[in-house]
Amino acid sequence: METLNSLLYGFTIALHPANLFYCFMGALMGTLVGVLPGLGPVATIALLLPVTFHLSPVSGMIMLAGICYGAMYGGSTTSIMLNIPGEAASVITCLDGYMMAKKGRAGPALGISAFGSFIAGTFSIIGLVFLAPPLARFALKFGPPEYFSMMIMGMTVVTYLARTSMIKALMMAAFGVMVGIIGMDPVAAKPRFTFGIKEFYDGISLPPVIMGLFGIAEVLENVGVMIKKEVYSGKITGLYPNKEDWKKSAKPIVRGTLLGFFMGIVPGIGNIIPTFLSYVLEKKVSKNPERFGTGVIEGVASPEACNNAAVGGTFIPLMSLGIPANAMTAILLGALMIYGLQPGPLLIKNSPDLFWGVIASMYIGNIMLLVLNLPLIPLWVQVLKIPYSYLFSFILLFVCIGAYSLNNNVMDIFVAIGFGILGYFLKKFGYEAAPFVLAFVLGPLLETSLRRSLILSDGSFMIFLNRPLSAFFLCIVVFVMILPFVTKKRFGKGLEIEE
Amino acid sequence: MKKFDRASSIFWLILSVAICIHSYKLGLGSFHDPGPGFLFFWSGVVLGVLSMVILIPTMKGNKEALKETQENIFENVKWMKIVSVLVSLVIYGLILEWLGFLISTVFFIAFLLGSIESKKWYIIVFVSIVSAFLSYALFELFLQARLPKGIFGI
Repeated sequence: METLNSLLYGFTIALHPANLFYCFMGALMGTLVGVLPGLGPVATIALLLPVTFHLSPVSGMIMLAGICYGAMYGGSTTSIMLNIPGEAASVITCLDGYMMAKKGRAGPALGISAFGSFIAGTFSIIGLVFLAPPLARFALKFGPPEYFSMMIMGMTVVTYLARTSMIKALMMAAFGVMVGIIGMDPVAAKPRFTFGIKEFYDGISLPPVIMGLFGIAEVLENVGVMIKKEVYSGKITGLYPNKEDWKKSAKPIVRGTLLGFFMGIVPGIGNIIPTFLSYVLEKKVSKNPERFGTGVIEGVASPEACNNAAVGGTFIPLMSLGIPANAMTAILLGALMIYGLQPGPLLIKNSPDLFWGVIASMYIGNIMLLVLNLPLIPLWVQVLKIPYSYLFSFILLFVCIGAYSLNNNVMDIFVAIGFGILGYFLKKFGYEAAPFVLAFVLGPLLETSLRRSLILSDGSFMIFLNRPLSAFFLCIVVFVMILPFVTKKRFGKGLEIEE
Repeated sequence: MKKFDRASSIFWLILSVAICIHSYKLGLGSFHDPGPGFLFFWSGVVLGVLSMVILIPTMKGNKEALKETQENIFENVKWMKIVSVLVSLVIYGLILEWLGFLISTVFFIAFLLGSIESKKWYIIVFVSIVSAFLSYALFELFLQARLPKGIFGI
């Protein structure tokens, strides 16, 4: 009953005309940028994050949640229409989605992607409503050792799921922690690795880092290179799946939703692995597995539902524990801190308007995406045709304005440029940015938890093993670290994107 | 990829040593009272150890193995365009507060479209002016972002 009252309260906030408008703008902008080839959901959120800074925290988070969902949807459109995935999780949609488009069934592919995402998104939001508050109450029992261990677990799982080298991913995590804690030492008030730059005394801001890593680096990689775009040019008809499509897609959507949601909850898993697993699962249960890859609707319905459900699942540890599950939620965590909020178990209690307002607006955003974006598909197809020779200049402009407008400080532009150069070389040498971003955001929290734990235990590291929950998290860390040696293979490895 | 892994791991190794030295100077404190350099130091140690894990196998391979066809990650990279983009970004950052947002942005977009993409002059003029005003409208007017006015006050 209390949950229902809180949810109704959330709807009163989300249905406020201004917040409805921000939700719509977030979904629209997220889709508009998300359809651009080369910019996945994480890059989209990174680029659009500064747009939300000038709003109130609640409105900003509402817009940001809309951007998340819009970006996911935009990425699916690119995968189906262009065969260019915006991120790893969209690779699977390319397999059958683009083949459906080639067969003249782009409409049903886009339609089932939208409907499947809507159903999965609705389920995951319901899950968020019922799971996040009790998890937050449980997490009130967490102390610094539990938080430290859980963050280490999350980072370790993310590195285990790295698409290339796990060792390189661990290196990125270690480097991310170091960059994340640059600034004044919170206890000794001593500048650390600031190189005399006073703007770094409060640490390096997240938005210029992610805009550089994902925005500028992407442009540097693509500039001067012709991106081969085979945009599906036929007329898009039949956006609403017919009875046969629904019959084939219903169970895959259910399976994808459940798989994505429950896997997405686990810190570190994110949405990539569940999406790949959902495709494998559908192939296994199908009576005609050889048809997968030729343009079957099940091959689109399940991964798309799984992807959206996993995103919803990742919001649970973010909102209830203040622990991001992947790079996207790490950025959202950073955004919460920029808005002046304290993520963690007390977020729901201290800022109920934010939590319930965001949940209600996620639901409304899902409806908006379904009702509005499907008719706007011809517009997205036109956007896809904008030559990259123009797009890259707009992306760079957006990065610069976004970085500058954070603090009206030109140094943030130079930070974005610096991380753009770093991001470019990281990509070239096979280092993933996601573990770096996660560790960058968690770095200060990690240091605080570590320090407090060691103060509590008077310097003994046994505190991390003596407390059952902390020991449990660390056992998972050990398990994940030795698993590749035992099984000789690793989830995630080999899942390179063909772009 | 081996020689590139060797190069990158050497870079990370040198960086981790530098970080460890500097964080030692900051003060590691003790386990019951970690100092400012504590987490830096141990993260640096992890980074250094892992970079050696990547480096050592690349040293073991013989020269012939390294000379074998490897994927050249920098093949076909248009360095001039990349450097041009970076230089234009730096210059944009330097002139932004001096000339103001509108004028700086027009120059910035014009340079990118003109020198990097070699668009026709009327396209350059049109797109750069429209981009500048549209982004001004979005950030300054709609989002109240307070973009710099510069010496000309516009």
